[in-house]
Amino acid sequence: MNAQPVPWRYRLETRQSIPIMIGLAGVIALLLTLGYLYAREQILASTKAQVAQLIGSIARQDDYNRNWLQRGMQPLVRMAAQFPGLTTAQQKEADKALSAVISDARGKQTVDILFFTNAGSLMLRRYDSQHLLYAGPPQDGPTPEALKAFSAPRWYTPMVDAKRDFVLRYSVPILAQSGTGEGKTVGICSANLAISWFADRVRSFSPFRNCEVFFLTRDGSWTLPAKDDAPLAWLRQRMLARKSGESGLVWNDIPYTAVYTPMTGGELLLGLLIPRKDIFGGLDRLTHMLSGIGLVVLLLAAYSLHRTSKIVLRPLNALEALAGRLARGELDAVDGPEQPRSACRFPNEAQRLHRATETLRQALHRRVRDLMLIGQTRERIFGEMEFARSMQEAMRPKPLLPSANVEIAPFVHRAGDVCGDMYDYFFQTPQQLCCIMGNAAAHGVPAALLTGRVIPLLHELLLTGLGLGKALEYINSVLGASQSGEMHMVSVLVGSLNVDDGVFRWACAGQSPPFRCLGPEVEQLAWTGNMPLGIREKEQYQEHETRLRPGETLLFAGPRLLSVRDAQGNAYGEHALRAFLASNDKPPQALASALFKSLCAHADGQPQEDLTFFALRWTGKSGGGYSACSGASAASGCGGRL
Amino acid sequence: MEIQVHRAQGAYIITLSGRWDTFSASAFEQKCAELIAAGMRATVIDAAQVDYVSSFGLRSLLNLGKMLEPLKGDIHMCSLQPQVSKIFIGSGFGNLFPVFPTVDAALKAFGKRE
Repeated sequence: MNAQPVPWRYRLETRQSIPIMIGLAGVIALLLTLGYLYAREQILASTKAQVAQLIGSIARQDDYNRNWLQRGMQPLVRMAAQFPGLTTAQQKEADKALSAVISDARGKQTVDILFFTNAGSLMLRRYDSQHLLYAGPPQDGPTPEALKAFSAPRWYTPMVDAKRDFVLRYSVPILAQSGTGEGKTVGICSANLAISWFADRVRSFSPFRNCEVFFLTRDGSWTLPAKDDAPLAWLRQRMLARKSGESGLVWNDIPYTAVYTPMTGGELLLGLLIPRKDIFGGLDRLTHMLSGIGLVVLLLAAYSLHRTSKIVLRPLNALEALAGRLARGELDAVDGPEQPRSACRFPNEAQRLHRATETLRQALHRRVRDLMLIGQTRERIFGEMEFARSMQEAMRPKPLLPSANVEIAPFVHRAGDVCGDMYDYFFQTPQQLCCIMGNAAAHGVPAALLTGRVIPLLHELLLTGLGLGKALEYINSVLGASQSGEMHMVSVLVGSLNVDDGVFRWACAGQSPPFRCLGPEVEQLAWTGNMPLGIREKEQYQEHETRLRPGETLLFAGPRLLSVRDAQGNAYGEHALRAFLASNDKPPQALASALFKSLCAHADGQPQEDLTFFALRWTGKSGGGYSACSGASAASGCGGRL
Repeated sequence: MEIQVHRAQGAYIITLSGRWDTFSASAFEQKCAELIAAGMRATVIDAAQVDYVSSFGLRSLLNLGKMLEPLKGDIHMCSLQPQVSKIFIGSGFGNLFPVFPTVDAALKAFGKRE
């Protein structure tokens, strides 16, 4: 193959490359997306499991807090039980003692003591670890009836106070002995433990160092800082609605993933705001790296497509040029040094295409050469046919000079250039008119050769005075002796009319005998039963004789005339010919023309085969009786042998 | 011309129909050459459906006879239509190839010969 630049049209065009590249990019994107989603689900599942583990730690811490609160409640309740009977001075002392008992060791603790005064009204005293915070009637809280019905210690649902601290509340009834010895509730001592460190403690247990831990109560309060939680209002709604799950969000310009789950029987929701980079940072880095790799793959693929198109299509380019040259008729064109056929045992597609093209070129070369030879042969044959046709035309007998006793009219319809039919007529002597009608079983030039050999020979033999039968026997022997495997079959009828007395003698070699007609009377002369010339060497041809009546016509025609077909395939037939002759008592020339018109009318156009016939009318005066010979009568005496 | 061949009583019966002329003679010769190669010897040509025979048709019949002659084969013609029979007998071919009125008669003639 010649090394030549690849035209742009042979490279993969942009519209062809784009689908390939889009497909490849789609595959890469799909793989990346599926991998990313799978890894993300795995990471989230792991994160949720880690958050669930936190629940256990929280429960333990909660237990510590509650136990601590319960233990601290016992001295408080004992001291609070004395309040209803204390004087004001004693109450101040008791206030100091109570504040001393209250501890902030596990968080900011406040204690509420609600009790009935001697006057029967409710009094609230609130303490912290320093001093009395409040003393007076309660602003809210249980009614006197509810207080009296409060008979057992009770833990309240954890709350979030105004400072967004996690608050545990524990209440214990203050009991007094009634007159019947039964204990009755005279007050309630409640301890509130605000654990500001609880979220930090939980975070310390978490594997996510930078996470934000918070609690959300069922009333929508949470421990997140009030100044920053406005953007997270939708998260609170979602947590209250879903109870557990995860959500992505941006908080303080930092992307977070919020993971939340219920705890303590659903009274609280534990939430973690984990910086997204802490969870998906590795995945994101991996995704970015794989995206880069995918981009590189795409670039490599594009480059590969470009290079491959050049490499693969380069030989096709050469073959295209070769095909173009062949199409322009340059059949000697080759696209490079001839490669031996066995050079490559396992050729690739381009090599196979090259071989096929070369085979095509050689076949075209041979075909064109054959066509040229055929053309030359055709020209030669046409020339020979034309020459044969002219020879046949030249061999036609010349019109007879006007004669007192005979009229003759030949008719030839040629379907091709040269036909196998032949006829001749000439005066053997001033009284004897010889007629020859024949047909060679051949076409074209062979037919012309056969007729060109038989007719002149027969003509010359008859001019020597040889009898009709003997002349046929001589020619039969000549044809038989000259055969070289190929059969030269010629059907001939030769006749001789004495124009003075109307005696007609004939000998037949496989040819249809003529019809004789006078007015409505039509008769065919007898078949002689002799074979065509050129078949059997020893064949003997007998002569037959009959006498024509004045004005009687002989029509010489072969069986082909009777086989002219109409559109339905029906032959003209002997019956139609007899009917035509019976109704057309015309001079020979008019009879021949009318007969051809009748044939054309039957065939609905000119016949497709050669047609040769001629009519001969004897117009002399009668020298004897009428003798219409049939085959039997000819053999028995009407047509006597010479 | 249509050419159909079947065998009966050891002979090949070639049934022709249509015009036995220039155009069909070569097909007839080719078919006969194949049949001879296949072993055809005793041959009956049923020409009941042949309505015209030309000199080419007669020539092809002669060629078949020439091919069968060295093989000791024979040809029997049968069921010729009148116009065909007139040409066939009148041109002397009846002396070369015997003509029978029916296929059965042609087949029986083989038996008598043997």
